[in-house]
Amino acid sequence: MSDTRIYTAKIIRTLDTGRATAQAVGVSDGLIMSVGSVDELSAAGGVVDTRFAEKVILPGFVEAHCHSFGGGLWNFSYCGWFDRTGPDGTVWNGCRSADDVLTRLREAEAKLTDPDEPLIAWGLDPIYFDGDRMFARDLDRVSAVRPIFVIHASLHLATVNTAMLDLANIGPDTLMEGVDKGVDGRPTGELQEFPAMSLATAGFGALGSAMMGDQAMINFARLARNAGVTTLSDLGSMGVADRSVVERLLSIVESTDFPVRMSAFHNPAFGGSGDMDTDAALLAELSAKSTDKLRIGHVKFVLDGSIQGFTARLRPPGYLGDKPNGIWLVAPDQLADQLAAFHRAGLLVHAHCNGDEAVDVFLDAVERVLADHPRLDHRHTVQHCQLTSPGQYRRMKALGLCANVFSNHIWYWGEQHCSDTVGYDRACRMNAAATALSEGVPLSIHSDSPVTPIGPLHVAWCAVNRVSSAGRVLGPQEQIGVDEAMSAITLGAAYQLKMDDEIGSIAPGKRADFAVLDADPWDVPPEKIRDINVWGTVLGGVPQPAGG
Amino acid sequence: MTKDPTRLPMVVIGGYLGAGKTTLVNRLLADPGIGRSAVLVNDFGDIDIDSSLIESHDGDTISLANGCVCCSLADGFVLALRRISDRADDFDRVVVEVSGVGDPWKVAQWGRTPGYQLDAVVVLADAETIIERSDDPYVGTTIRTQLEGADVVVISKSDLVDDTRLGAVRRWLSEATSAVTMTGTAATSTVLGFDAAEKINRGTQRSKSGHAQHTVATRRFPDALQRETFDAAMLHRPDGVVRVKGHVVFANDPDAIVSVQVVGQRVEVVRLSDGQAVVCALVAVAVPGTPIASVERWLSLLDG
Repeated sequence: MSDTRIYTAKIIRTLDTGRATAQAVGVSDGLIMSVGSVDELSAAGGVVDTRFAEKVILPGFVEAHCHSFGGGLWNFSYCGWFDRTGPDGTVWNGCRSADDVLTRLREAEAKLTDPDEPLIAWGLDPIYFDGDRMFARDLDRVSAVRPIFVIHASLHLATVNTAMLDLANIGPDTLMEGVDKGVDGRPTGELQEFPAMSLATAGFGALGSAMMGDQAMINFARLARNAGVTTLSDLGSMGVADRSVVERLLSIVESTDFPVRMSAFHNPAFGGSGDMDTDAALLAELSAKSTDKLRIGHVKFVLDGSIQGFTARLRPPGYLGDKPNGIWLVAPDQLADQLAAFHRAGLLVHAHCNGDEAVDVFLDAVERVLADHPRLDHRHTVQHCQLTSPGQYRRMKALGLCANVFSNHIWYWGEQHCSDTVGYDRACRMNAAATALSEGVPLSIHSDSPVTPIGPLHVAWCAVNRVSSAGRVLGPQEQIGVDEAMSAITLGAAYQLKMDDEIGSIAPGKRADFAVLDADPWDVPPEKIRDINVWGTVLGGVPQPAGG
Repeated sequence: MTKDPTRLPMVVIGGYLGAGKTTLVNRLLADPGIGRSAVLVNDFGDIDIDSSLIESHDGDTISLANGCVCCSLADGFVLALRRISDRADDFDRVVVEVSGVGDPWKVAQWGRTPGYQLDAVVVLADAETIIERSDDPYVGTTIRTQLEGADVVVISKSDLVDDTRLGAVRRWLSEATSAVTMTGTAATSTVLGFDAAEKINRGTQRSKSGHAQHTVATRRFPDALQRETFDAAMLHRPDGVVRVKGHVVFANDPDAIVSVQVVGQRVEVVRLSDGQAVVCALVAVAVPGTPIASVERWLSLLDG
């Protein structure tokens, strides 16, 4: 096999029990030929490629839960608290004060040539600033004439300047709930939730168009590659049970501009005929359009909201301070019937359940559906699992369910969970990856990007260390080992996509998808895992350098 | 009274599963007497339209011979609203059916976006189950939130319960919501507002659709009103007055015409932009059986 390319590395961590570590991996036609020493592989013929000789090769990471529309945000300036890296590899330093935000906006404003073009920015998170909030009068210091629209990190809130308020005709008489007003009755510039944000059409519309566009998905795929990801799960960003949507996805994902594989989940709330049986049949039919790079045929339900937004459904004792319980996005009474439609069609269903009460409702529905329609190896998965209890994990094991845990929350919102949402005790039990494993539930962990930045090494670091942004460990009993965390971001995530026999580890016959790192996650102190530089990936045997 | 030419009235219909939202939507679509409605529904699954009325069925949209269309929200709410407002002249109103766990008041905020004006938030309450369901550990808060955001609550399935139960439901609702509460099918036109009530009262199709006559009273106000008198009167209306609409001038702001819209307990007073010439008058609609004299007397108090 003379066309075999033999990549050598400082070490190859295969995540495969057949050969845990190696020095070389032979690749041909996008597949792995063999794994072993350079001598073993050379004996069978092939070209030795030493470009990664000083690197560490792992299976390509599998992002288990993200939304590709998030790539559209990168058309605009980032002004969030945490450092972030753009699709082209540019590092954007976090804005640590209101003044930093204004400086960032002034820089962006200076680059706009059309005087009428609105200035749009994203990622604002003033909760970390002393002043706590930002208003129109703050943004007016950037420009009194150019309309400015800054959407917050949550994407549920925007701050606009006076020029934007005037352009959008938002004033004291505007009745819309969510148009925040001061004691003088005048709008402050804060627009809460989508109807209010949509009044600022010049900003909200441009942002929406960018997020709906093809370039958003391409940007996102590049961000994923920069983080070592070779397969991403687009978890219900659109209604995929639709021929035209699948054609569009194929045209984007199959292009060489798109450097990752993608499994695109159908979200019944975002499209389809409305009739679940019809959609299930169509989705099953469309799954035949799947390619090596694009997978069609899985389904995502969203049961509740978010814990930090106080919209997740919690069992007692609920939210701190007797705040009301969250919201349902699917009627609990209807879930089993809706689930059954897709389950009977042989499809895989993932269910967003942030709160533990949402988990109860999903488990009850699964139990009912399985009693009526037994099915082996369904791999239905509970997404987020943030407050899932040990007893719920035991039920999940019994029902054949998997867990995809939102480990990044510990770092990004751990402190807010202690002080505002559920308190220190429950914050220490949140995202209980160790319990999931000890109860025998197949595990993956995720970023939910753009909710948090895509970066499997960061997610693994969170699961291993459980450190909050204030630097304290929350719930050391739920820390997992490096082996377990690295498995969760590769084989574990692949298993929940039913792709584990194809990707997720480095073994003969599997796809030649690798994450190429500058250091070995097993060889650095656990608290340094997230600092490991990612060179890029190899996708189907083809090197994909970060930032390229 | 005709609709503002640039803004389509939006009626939002909420209520938990089984409360009768789809039944109401089906009735609206089949009712020839209430004008052209664009009805947005989550799915067509339970929509039951006489096939002889259907002019075309194009994916997400069913067009009816009576000028109504029914659109599914499959492609999302914002896109559907944009499609409707693009042909606003074809409709008298848009009716939005909210999902059984949705919060109609939140959805109603879209009625305050350009191209629309929020008309009424109508929540259906199932007389057989509403009290018990409101204590359900899963959906109790959802149902209570729906009722709290309502302008008008329609008690459905009232014919399936006895008077004792109906009385208990009414008493319970008076605690659970500040909305105007009514029962039965007479509510259709109240749900849809003035022009529907007027069309029905003109009797064009009354015999066929079986609507009862609404009480409608109008009064012109050539002189400015005292704001305090107005506010007090809106808070203390005769029983049965569901809607008040029109334009007035207040003495404390004599250069401005303000538009008045009252639905249920929600009173909205908005200063019009300059230069709009309108007749200053208010029209009040009350449920069938309300004595017109009491409504007229109440309107006359505003002059004071």
